[in-house]
Amino acid sequence: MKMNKRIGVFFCTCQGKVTEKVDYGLVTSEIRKLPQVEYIGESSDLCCQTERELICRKIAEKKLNRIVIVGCVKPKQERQFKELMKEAGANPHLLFLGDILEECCNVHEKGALCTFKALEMTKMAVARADKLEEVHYDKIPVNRTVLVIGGGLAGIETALESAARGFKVILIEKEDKLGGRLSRVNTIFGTDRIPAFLLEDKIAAVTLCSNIEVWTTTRLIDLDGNIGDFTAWLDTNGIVTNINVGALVIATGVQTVFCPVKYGLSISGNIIGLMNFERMLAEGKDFNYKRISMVVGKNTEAYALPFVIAVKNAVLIRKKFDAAVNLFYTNMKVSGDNWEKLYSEARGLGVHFFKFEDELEISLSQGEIAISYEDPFIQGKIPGSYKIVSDYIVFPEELVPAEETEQLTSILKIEIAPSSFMSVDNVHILNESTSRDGIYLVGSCQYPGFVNEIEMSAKIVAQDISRRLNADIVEVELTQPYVDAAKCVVCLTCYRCCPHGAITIEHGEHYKNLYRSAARMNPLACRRCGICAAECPGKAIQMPDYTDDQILAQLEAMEV
Amino acid sequence: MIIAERKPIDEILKFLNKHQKVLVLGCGGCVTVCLAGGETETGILHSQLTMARNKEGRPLDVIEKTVERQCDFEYLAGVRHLVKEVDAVLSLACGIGIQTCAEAFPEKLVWPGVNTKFLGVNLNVGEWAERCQACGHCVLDKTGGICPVARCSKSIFNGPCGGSQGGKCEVSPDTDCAWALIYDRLSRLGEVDSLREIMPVKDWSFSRDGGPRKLVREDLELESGQ
Amino acid sequence: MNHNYQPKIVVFTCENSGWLALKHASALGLLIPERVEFIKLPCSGKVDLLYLLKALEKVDGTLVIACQKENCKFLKGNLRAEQRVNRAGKLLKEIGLEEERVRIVYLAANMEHKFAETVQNFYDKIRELGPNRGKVMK
Repeated sequence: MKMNKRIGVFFCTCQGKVTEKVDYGLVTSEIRKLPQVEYIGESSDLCCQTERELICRKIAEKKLNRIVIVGCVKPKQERQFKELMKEAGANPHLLFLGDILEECCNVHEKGALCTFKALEMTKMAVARADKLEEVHYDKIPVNRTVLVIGGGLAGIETALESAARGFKVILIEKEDKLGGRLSRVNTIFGTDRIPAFLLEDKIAAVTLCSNIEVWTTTRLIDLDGNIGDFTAWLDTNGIVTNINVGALVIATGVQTVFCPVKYGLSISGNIIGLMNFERMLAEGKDFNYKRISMVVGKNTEAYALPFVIAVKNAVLIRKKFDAAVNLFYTNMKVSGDNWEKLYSEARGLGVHFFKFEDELEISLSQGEIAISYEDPFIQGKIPGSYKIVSDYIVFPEELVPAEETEQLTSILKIEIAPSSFMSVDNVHILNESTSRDGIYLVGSCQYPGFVNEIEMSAKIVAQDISRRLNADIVEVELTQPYVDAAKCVVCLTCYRCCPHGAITIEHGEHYKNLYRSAARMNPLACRRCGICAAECPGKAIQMPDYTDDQILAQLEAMEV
Repeated sequence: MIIAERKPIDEILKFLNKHQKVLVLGCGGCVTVCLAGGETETGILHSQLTMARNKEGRPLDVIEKTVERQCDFEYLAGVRHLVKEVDAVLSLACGIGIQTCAEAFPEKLVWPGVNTKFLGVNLNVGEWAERCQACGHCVLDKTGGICPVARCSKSIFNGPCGGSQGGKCEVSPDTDCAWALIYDRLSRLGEVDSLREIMPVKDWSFSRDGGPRKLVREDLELESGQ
Repeated sequence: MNHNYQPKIVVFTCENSGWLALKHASALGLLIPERVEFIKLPCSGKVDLLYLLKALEKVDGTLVIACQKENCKFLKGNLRAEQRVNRAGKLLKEIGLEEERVRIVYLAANMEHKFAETVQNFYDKIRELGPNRGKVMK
C-alpha cells in the first residue's frame, strides 16, 4: 500500500539560540514551496510538554506521515522524539532530525550564508524524510541453553552463574574430569580459601545442579548458526552428537611452557618453573635452609600474573621456612588491588629484591646456581658485578593459549589477538564479548587472569546472556540490513565481509530469484554497521534508516 | 563461474567518443558475483563516465540498467525500448553477454565494458583463480580433481615437467605446480599408484581445435519432439 | 584563481567518531566553513563508493571521517572505507580529475580541534584545486 507522503516540518528555535543567527522566516517560506510538505510549525522549545502534545495533535489533524524536526539533536532528544512518534501512533523511523543548532549555528558566523545553509539542511532533511520507511519489530524464538567450553574455574563459575539465572547449561571438558589449572595452585592471593577445597565445593555444586549437564572428554568440532540458534557438533571419545544452543562461553584457559633454554640453561632438578614451584609448595616440599632465586623479567612482562605469583610465594617461603629468597626483576608490576601491600610485606619479611636491566649471567656448577648481576643504580660508582649463589632458581613459564585454540577460533569464526590469545571485540563495550554476538570469553583464554577477575567475568557474561536471551521468544527491532531477494545473486561478498559472522545464506521457495536463496542478516547477531550494504555488488542490501535511496535523495537535494 | 574485469576507462571513453546518449547495461549473473558488472559497478561506471565527459565539456547522457542475465535473449528483450532511445549500448556482461546483446540489437553499436578473463573460483573477496578451460573432455577423474589443462602452465598430461620447483611453477613463483598438487592430493588419498599409468595424448577435437562448438540435445529441443 | 571561489564539500562521518567530534566542536564554537555538508553514517564502512561518486558529481570534494585505525567499533569498517576511498581516488585519476578530491581521515570522538582543523584544511586544499571539472551543472 503506497500512501501519499505528507511531511510535517517542525522548527525549534532552541529558545532563540537558532534564530540569533538564522532567519527562520526565510527558511520556512522556501520550505513551504516543497510539494510534499503539508505542515510547518515553529516553536521556541519543542522539548517542552505542551509543544510535544501539539506535535501529536498536528500529526493526527494533518494526517502527517513523515516528520522532520529541525533544531538541536542530542541522543536524549532523539530518544524523546522517537517516544513522541510512538505516542502519536506513528512509526518512530518516519522521523528525521536536522541539527541546525549544532551543525550550522554554532559552527558558522552570523550572516546570509548561515541562513542559506540552514535552508539547505532543511531541504536535505525533507528529501530524506520523503524516503523514510517504517521499521517493525519481530518476535524470534531463541534457544536458552548455554554451552560452556572448558571445565576449569572459569567454565564452572559461568555454568553456575548461568544456571542460577534459569538457563540450561552444557559444560564440556576435554579431560576426563573438571578442575583445570586451579587444582595445581597452592594459594590464591587475596583470599584464604584453599584452591583444592574451593574447586571441590564448586564441582559439587555443579554436580548437584539439575540445570547443568557435564560432558567430559568432549570437544567442540563444528559450529553453525548465530546467537539464539547455534548448532554445535560435539565429539565425545569419537562419538559425535549435535546440540542446539543459544550462546557459547569459551573458557579454555591458558597453558604453560617451561623453557629454561631461553636463559641459557638446560633442564635440571634445581631449575624450576614458577607454577611448578607453587605446586611443590602445595605438595609440602621442604625448603628449609635453602637459597632460592626467582627471576621475573625480560619476556615475561606481558601479563601481571607472574609478578604476583612470585611475590606471593616469596612471602610464603619466608614465613614458612628458614630460607633466603632473592627476587630479580626488571619492572615490578604491582598495580592491582592490595598488590602493593603484598610487595611491602615481602620487603618487610626480608625478601631481597634486585633490579636488573639487560641480561643476567646465570651459570650452574656443582648443583649450585650463580647469578652475576650488575646493579643499575650503583653502576659506575662501584665497578664490577655481584655474584649471588643459590640452590634453586625459579623462572615463570611462558603463558600461551590452551592447546587447539587456533582450531577453536576457526570453528567459532572469531579473531585471534596479536598475543595469540582469543581477541575481545571492544573493551569499551564488554570486556568478555567476541566479534560475534552470543560467543563470550571468560577467564584466561583472553589473557592469563586472576581468580577474582574470572569470578567477576563469569557473572558479567551470565548477566549478558540473560539480557540477550531473556525469554524463549525475544522481540527485536528489525533495523538490521535487509536483502531484496530478487537482486541477490548469493555471491557471498556480504557473507565474507561481515565482521560479526551475522550473515547466512538461506534457501527457500519464497526467495523469488534464480537461486531460490538469498543472504540474510540475523537480526540478533547483526550489529548494524552497514558494511554489507556498501559491499553488495548487486545493490540488493539496504540498511533501514540509511538506505541508498535516502542518502542519494539527500545528496540530490543539496544545492550546488 | 566466468571471471571478468572492468576495462580501463580510457578504452571505454574512446568507444563512446562519438555518442551523446548511451545505455550502460549491467548483468546480474557471473559479472555481479565477480564484482565487475553488477548494479553497483554499473552505477559507478555511470558516475565516472558522466564526470569524465563533463570535464571535457561534452556531456554524455547515461542510462543505467541491470538485467538478470545478458546471455539470454529474453532478458535482453526486456530493455529493447530503452535501447531504442540511445546511440549505443555499453555492456558490462562477459564476452558471451556482449555478443548476445549485439545479436539481440542488430541496429545498435554494442561496446564491451569488461575484459572476460577466465573460468575460475572466488578464493576470497577480490581474489580469483583459473580452474577450467572448457576443453570439452574432462580428465579430472584421473588427476585427483585438479585440472592439468587449466592449472598447468603447459597443460601437460604426464607431469610434472622439469620446471616444477618446491611445488611452484617455473612460469611464476605465485603459481602452484598443478602436478605437484595432483601428486600431493593423490598420495594423501593413497591413490598415487594411479599416476603410473601413462595418459594418452589428449583428444583436442572436443576443445577449440574442432572449431567453434555447439551443443544440441535433441531430447530437450522444443521443435524436435513435434 | 578566482578569489571569491568557495568550494562545496560533503563530509561523511561515522557516528562513533566524526559525528561526535562535530558535536564537540560545535559545543566549543569552533568555526567550520559554511559550504560543507555533513551526512551521518552508522560506521564509515557504510560509505558506498557510489555515495562518494554521486556526491562528486555535484560538489568539489568529499571527505570521509572514520574512527582511528584498529579502533573501529565494527573491527574492519574503517579499513573497508579506506579501500573504497582509495578506489574512488583511482577512478577520479583515471578520468583526469584530481584524486585529492576524495580523502579519508581517522580521528576519535574527543578530537574536536583536529576535526575542525581537518575540515578546514580539506576545504582549503579543495579551494586551491579549484572547481571540480567533472561536476555536472544543473
